[in-house]
Amino acid sequence: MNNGTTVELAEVTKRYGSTAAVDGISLALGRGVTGLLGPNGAGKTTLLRMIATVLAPDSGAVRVLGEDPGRAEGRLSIRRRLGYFPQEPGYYANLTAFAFVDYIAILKEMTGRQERHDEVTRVLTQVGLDDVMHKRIKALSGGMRRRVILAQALLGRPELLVLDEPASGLDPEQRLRFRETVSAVAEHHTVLLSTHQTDDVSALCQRVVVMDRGRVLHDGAPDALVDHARGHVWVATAPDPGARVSWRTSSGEYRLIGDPPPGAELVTPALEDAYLLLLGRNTSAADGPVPTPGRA
Amino acid sequence: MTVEQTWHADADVLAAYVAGRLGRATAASLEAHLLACASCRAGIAPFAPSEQLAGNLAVLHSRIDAPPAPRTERFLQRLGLPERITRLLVVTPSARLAWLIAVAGAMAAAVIAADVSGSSQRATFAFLVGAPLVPLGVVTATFATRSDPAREVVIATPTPGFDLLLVRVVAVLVPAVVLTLLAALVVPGQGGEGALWLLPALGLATATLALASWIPVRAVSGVLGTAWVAAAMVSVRRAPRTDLIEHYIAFRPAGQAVMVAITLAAAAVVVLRRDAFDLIDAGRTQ
Amino acid sequence: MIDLSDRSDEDLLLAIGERDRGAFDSLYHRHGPWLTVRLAHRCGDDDVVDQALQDTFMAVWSKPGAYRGSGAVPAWLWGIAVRRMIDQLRRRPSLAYRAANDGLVVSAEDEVLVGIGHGELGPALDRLSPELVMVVQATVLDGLTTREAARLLRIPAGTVKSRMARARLQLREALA
Repeated sequence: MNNGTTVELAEVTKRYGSTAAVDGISLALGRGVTGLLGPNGAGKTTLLRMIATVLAPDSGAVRVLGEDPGRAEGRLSIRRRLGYFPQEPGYYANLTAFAFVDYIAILKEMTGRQERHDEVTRVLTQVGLDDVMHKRIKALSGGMRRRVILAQALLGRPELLVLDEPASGLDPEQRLRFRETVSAVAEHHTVLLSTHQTDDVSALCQRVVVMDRGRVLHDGAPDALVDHARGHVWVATAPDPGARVSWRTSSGEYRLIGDPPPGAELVTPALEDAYLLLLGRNTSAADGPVPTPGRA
Repeated sequence: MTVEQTWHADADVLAAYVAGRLGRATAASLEAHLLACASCRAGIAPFAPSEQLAGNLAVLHSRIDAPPAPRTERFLQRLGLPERITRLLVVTPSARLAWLIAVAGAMAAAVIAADVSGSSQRATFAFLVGAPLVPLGVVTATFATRSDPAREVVIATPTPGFDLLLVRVVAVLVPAVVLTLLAALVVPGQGGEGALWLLPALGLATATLALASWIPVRAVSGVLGTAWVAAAMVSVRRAPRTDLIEHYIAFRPAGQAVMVAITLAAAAVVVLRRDAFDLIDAGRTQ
Repeated sequence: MIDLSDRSDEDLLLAIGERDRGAFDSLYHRHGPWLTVRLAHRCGDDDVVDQALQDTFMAVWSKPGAYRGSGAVPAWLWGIAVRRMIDQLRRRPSLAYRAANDGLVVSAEDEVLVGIGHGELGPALDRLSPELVMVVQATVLDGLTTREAARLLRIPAGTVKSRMARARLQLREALA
């Protein structure tokens, strides 16, 4: 791998029927946390599935950890070094958290009992489930269940961690803990996580990729995205036709994003403003109604 | 021990024993002595692998705290199956077990009803046509998302999806076939006719597996199952009631030979297409 | 790892019967070390040793009442441990039970150093062929029945008996 690139996509396309869920995306990722931001149906899950080797692209080239996931040996080599948190994670509700993660560890080729036991205990402790690891999953709360899935993704300290909306459904405290866990992993490895929460991105990611309708709208540091919105966010006492998005804030004023009228009271944009501006532009640039991709 | 030991091994000897440096006879003597001497047993402790001991105690604590493995899993492990297979079999069976029982019940009911109706040739024929649908349903159910809720997590592991699928298909196919063979004993068949369904069943099941590597499995099994039943109906439309079985080509020697050929060809395709089962969209209806 | 409990093994087993984790840990610290070492002499694979040891103590935890008071607790524990090891070896056909310190010839000097008197028996035992040693070790030292030894050594029970008879004869001749 040259200059630490762990994931490389070239002109990757995946269609469902006539809709391109991922439409000719090229991307190169390296160490650290990259956030994948986009509305529902943007194609984030399809993209992550292709990187996680569980879905094959219709066209284009995918290289992960220097291997080709389209070939059996390449796929095997990637899967040995991959941790994956799918968007709709399922579990066996009758198993204990420990037994479930232990089962995935078996499938991840950890055959030595002692070594496996230690590793399963380690990941469950890392996600803060050490107290309840011998409880059946059906007895755990929703947030705990998601942490069980996160724990299995951490097994074997994978070089690449692909997380599809891992933080949704977590309460603020769990979210904080989740950020700690991910940033600890990202020190030495590559983490790619999708979210629709801009605050996760600001808190965690050195890089943000914004996707909408199968295409990449922005790829760079979160600050660079914010820079795009400078001069496009202002406050006023009434809505304005030049604004693509506007809402009334708790102070009673309107926050507006778009093309400001002369003399508008400009404010410093936040990441969320920049994201909304980007999506707003993309929607008005498209002709006709927004198509609904078959699979997000 | 109540018997006071008159002799004790010194630390050098115990260390030599732990390191495997004692001769055969000496080691044997010492082992016999250890069973009787608490102080020499304790004397071994400093030379024993302390990390290994601590690790095992930690595992013991968590094994004590953990609920016991399901009885079926312990039973399967006792049969000598490796853990990854026993765990796989016990984590996903609930839906399928209910389904198997329902099938067995439905078949038994059909058999009894047909038997009561008096025409034994018709009962046998209905059974022979119906029986291959059981393995077909089993294969379809194995693919269904619901049969493995953690499918996407499991597929992203290095264990090949094909291996997992094979284990599952075999694990449900064998009981299904056995159940159906048992049902065949109930059917008033003539001689070996009660087993004529077996080869068509294998043909349909393997063909479904093979095609499911390209096409959604429900579409495949729907088409194949319908074609199988429709062909049976059409071919016996004008047949005398006492000679139904002879009129369906699938139950004649030529047809049975074709079923063997289909089974072998489909099995070859499944093996060649094994990589397709490594992806989440194999056999799925999107 | 030093066991500070001065309760007898029998007392500890009674306490374990009342789900006393402290008693369990005491019993483990007292007997885990020598059992581990002895198991390791029978099979070089750490995983088999770990499994057998864990299974032994799990058996103690779940059924401490299986100890009926005939014979000493250490012998009872070893009886469980060696049988659990057999279970493990049966699942792993590539691994085998082995004779302790196989191939090691001990000099008279060592014998003096050790100071365990077995007179003529030591050299006689060392002169037995490996197959005979295995049978003697499995039945006499490890206390297995003929059938268990046969399964462990993967030979017919009749062969165990005939080898045992040969071993006895050779030892008797050597000592005569």
